[in-house]
Amino acid sequence: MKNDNVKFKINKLRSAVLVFVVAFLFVAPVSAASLYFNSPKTDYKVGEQFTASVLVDSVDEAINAFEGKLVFSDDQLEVKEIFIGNSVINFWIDTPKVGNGEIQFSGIVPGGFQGDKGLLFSAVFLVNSIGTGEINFSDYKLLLNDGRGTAALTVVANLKLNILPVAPGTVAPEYMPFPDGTLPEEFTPELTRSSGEFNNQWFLVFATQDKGSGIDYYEVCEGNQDNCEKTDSPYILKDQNLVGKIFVKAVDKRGNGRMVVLEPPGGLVWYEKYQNYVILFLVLVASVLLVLKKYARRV
Amino acid sequence: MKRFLVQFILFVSPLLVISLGAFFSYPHLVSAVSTATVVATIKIEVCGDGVKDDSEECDGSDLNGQTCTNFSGFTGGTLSCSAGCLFAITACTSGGTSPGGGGGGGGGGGIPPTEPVITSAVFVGRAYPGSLVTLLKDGQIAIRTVAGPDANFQMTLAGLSAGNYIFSLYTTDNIGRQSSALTFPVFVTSGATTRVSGIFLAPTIAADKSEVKRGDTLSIFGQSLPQSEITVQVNSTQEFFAKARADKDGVYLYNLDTAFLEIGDHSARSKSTVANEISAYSDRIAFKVGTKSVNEAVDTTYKKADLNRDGSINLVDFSVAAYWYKRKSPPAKYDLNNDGKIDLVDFSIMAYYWTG
Repeated sequence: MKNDNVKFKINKLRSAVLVFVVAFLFVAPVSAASLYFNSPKTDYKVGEQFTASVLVDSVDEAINAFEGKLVFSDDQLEVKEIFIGNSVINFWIDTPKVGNGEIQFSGIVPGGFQGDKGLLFSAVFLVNSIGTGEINFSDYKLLLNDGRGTAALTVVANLKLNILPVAPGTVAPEYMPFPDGTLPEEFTPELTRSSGEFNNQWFLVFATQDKGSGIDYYEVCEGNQDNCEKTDSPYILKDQNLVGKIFVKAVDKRGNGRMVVLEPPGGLVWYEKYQNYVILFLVLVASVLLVLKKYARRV
Repeated sequence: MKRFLVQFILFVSPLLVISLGAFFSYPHLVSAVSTATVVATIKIEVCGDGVKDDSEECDGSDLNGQTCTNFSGFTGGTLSCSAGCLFAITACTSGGTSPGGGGGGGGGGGIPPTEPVITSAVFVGRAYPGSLVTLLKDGQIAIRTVAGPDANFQMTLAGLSAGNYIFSLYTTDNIGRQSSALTFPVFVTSGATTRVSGIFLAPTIAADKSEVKRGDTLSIFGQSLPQSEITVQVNSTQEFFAKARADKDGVYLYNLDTAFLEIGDHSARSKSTVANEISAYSDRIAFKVGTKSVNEAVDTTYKKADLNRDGSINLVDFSVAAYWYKRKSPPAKYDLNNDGKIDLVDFSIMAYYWTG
């Protein structure tokens, strides 16, 4: 009986060692992408503003598509500004926007991002009430640059906050706004149409970057600069005859704007062509000369 | 108990030896790297950051310990560094007179002319002989050039803002196949020239059949750097590597004997090695080993990602897909993974095939 017990123990030990060794030998180390915050500190006072940057690490595999949400209590935290300047995301599908205690975002990096501390965007929060607070990642998805959109194994680190009351007689530290005096980068809007898209109507596509505060919005003006509207790419032109200039303006978060003017293939309206004024002037001069000549003959 | 201990030692010792051996042979787990290892790296240097890098003669006040007297014909004066990180000897003097000399006083050099400060990036690397190399800046075509007969290329991108950029480079081979893109983030410094060197673009790869009868030969071919060693990685149940040599035009061919492969799906990719430098991997080509041979099929996903069928996968295609994003009943032709909706996966597929 004692021998049976020993044998049983040995067998059990053998199995355990075998499982350990097999696991050790054949389970390859799994690398994961990570989403996390960079924030200067975790203790804040009511009335204080702070910037939380959303960063990504993916050292082993390239990630080419990102989406997710930041979720927080909108009673406790108020979003003052969101910056997308210097983001690794080149094209936003959902530019980060705030609503109901969430910031939703999605975008792509053609060719993929592989590295560490890749900035997705930054948000400036104003602290409104005391207590413990959190900014959590939710519904996040990072996809590999593999041509199939395979989901990358992703770990997240949420941001925990400790919000304290302002001590009597003191004021919360003042927030220094992010300065940006540079224009958005040069860009070339593309005017295109295809029988397969938008009923063969002419449409504009455009995108540029602003390495400072980030692009805030685009504006398209048709014909003249009084006829503008804020829009996103693609923009289906109202004037499908393409008569008149098209102005596309990219404006960053600090109001720095870069305007690009397109001369449409349909040509300019008559009063925009200086040649027409020359012809008009010549016709006028000729008419006056003819009248004068006739008058001179009579006299 | 003694018997138990003996059995335990006899059983565990070999396993421990195997375990330790496996541990130290796992490249992910060891920090020591063999000296024979070749690595695919690019090198980023900044001209203008005040620190002399390998490809620079000097940088700002970092003159690498040189003075005017190190240059023949000069006995004194002030050596300086140009905006291009080259030595400027305009303020060096010989025999007490300035080199521009002429009469009259002054002497002892002067203030070197101020060169305009520009923020730029230079890209230096290797593609294929005479191939068209495309540089994307944040996903949009910034510049194109043609590699020389030796496959070397250099491109300069000026007028940049300081900040983070995602640069991508790809090339096309002698019959128009596109290489996989080499994509990397770079921080561009204000008022400095960022030099990105050591770029080694991946080979192109293709196969003559999409399905091959087991035992027949599958030809795997493409283009790379002339005379480079090509490693073809075949992914089967048992992965294996084969070698081929690119010719003087960079063209390579490897005939794969499929008698050793199992019936089923396989894939292959290639990389190129020369003088201890290694390229990135090419794209993967998929092939099937079966009971019949079928000639090479065109990659329809690539064609599908080109939504407006203009030959490029770029902002126009992105914008069209963005318009249909999360909308009901998108056109089937825009649904790249055929799941009935336009979502992040479709954008990821498009980003993979992106050409700018």
